[in-house]
Amino acid sequence: MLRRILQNRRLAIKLNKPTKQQTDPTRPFFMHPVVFLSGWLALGILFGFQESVEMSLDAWKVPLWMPFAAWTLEFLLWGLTFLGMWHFLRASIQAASTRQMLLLYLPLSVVVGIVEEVLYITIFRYQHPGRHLTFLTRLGHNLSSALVTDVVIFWMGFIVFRSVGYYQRYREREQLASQLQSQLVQARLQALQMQLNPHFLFNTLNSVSSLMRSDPDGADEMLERLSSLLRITLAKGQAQRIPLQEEMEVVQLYVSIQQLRFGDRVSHRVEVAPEAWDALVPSMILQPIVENAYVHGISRSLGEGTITIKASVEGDKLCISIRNAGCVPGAFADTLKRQGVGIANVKARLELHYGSRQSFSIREVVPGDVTALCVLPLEIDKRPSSDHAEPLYAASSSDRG
Amino acid sequence: MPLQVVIADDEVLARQKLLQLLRDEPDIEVVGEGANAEETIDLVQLTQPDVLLLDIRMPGMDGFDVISALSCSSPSDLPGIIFTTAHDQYALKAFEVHAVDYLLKPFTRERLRIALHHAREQRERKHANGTARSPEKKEYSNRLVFRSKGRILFLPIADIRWIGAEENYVRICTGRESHMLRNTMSNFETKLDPDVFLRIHRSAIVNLQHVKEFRTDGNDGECFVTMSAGHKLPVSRGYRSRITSLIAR
Repeated sequence: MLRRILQNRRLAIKLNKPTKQQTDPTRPFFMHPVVFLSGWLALGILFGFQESVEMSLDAWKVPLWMPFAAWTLEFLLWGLTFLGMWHFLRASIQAASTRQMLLLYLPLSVVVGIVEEVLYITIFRYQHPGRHLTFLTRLGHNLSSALVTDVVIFWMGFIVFRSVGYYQRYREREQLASQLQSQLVQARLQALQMQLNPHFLFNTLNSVSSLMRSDPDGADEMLERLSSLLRITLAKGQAQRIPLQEEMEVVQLYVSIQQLRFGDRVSHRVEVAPEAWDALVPSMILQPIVENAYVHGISRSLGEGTITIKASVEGDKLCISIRNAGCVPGAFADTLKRQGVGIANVKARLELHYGSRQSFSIREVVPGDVTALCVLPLEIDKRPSSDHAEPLYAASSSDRG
Repeated sequence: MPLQVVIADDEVLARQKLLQLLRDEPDIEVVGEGANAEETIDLVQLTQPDVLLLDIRMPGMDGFDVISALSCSSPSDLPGIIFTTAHDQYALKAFEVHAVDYLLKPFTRERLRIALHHAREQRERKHANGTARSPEKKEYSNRLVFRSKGRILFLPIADIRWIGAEENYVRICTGRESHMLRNTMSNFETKLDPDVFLRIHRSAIVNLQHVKEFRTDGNDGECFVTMSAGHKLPVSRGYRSRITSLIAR
């Protein structure tokens, strides 16, 4: 219960946290001032080069630097204009309605075109071949030849900025959706994980309650083991996947509690290949399978039972089998019908964790001998294997001097 | 001489449980009960017990404050400290202040007995050799602290029968049970006294006190160690010379 409250709170915190995307829209790399202006500069040089080649072919009497300077200046002016638009008008461009586009940006594009030409003529006042003409004549000439081009360039920039906005919003939404998706999966996994504990908890408490009268030390023993089990389960917190070694600690504690309940009727064996200890498994996945073996197998049989838990690595798969020898023959068919919440849960959780990359089956191999087989994709815990990964402290002496 | 014990816990029921368990133990005498740190300090100074069963979280000062207050006033006469607590996060700190044991609540009669047994051993050692230690011999660890199956263990090294390697883990086998720890054999080997523990294989270290026999199989020359509990462990070729030199000694 406590754990569920804690987890819900953690989940709530996670959901409320604003995503980074919302507060800080990323700038596309090409809008970095240096990159952006260099791009326009390069275009200017390219056009300048082309024109100077044409001019030399046509044997014009103009110094060769002229076309370079003219084109570079022209494109640099555009670069600066667009940089300004990005900084001051981006939000407005990205949000503009059709009305605003027609009433605000269409006139603006014409004004920007005229200003561009005015600046161009002002800067090239004395270097231009047409310097003997008046300012207004030159402006009229330039506008008639280039204003349409200027307006088109303006609108191209407008479209690019608007597209960037669309793209960013699309990415944001996509990211948010995938976040929500993973949180949903997380929440469902937690919900499933929680259904396992109380069931077993109350059964054990009931056993303690019964032992209290007949065997106080036995009750004590069971409470100690139950506390240990709760302690490690709580310590795992939200970890969804844990090394098999930790999972086996839980299973062994569970089994040791069951052993107190069933006494000598059940023996259990654990055979885990050394390389499987560090393989990751969903937390609390084996306990319900073992529980199933007890509840539907051994507790209903009269003779002695053996539960064998084996784990091995086969290629890129982790194979875990839980064999329950000594059930009542035929009880298995009954078991399938009454398959408890526990096993349904195991299946659902494996599905959520691994999709189709896992398999889980329970079969009666020979009468009275049921094996649950769980095959998972092999994932190895990435903690450093050498050195001492686990804190181990040793004291040179326990005696005080 | 019975082991004299003081109980310190702020909860009546916790003290009552300890009293009931201790009443059934032979050779134990409860000489006082403290419900908070101040009371406990006074009690210990007055009665000079052998063992202090100490809760950590108490109103006002906590269990560690009790220890520092006591070691300030009479550092040489501190009782053996056995912590009894519901919190597992203080285990290392407890180990550092040389506590005898660390009992996680709820604990069983059996677990308490083990702790008291350790306390008794410690008292006897103290009486036997006082504070003197053989200066020429390198000091090896005599206890390990680690977490296993939801418990805290202050394991006396002498209780280890053998240690086996399983990939990234070592398996520590005592008479009662075995514990898996994520650690390396070489790390363990450096911590253990070579006069007591012998590496016989890349993946096995044995406690010589629990070895029943070494045997070389006549046919294929394979060598085995048989432990006192009947467990058989192979000796690898590379480590065999260590055994022969040991036998020669």
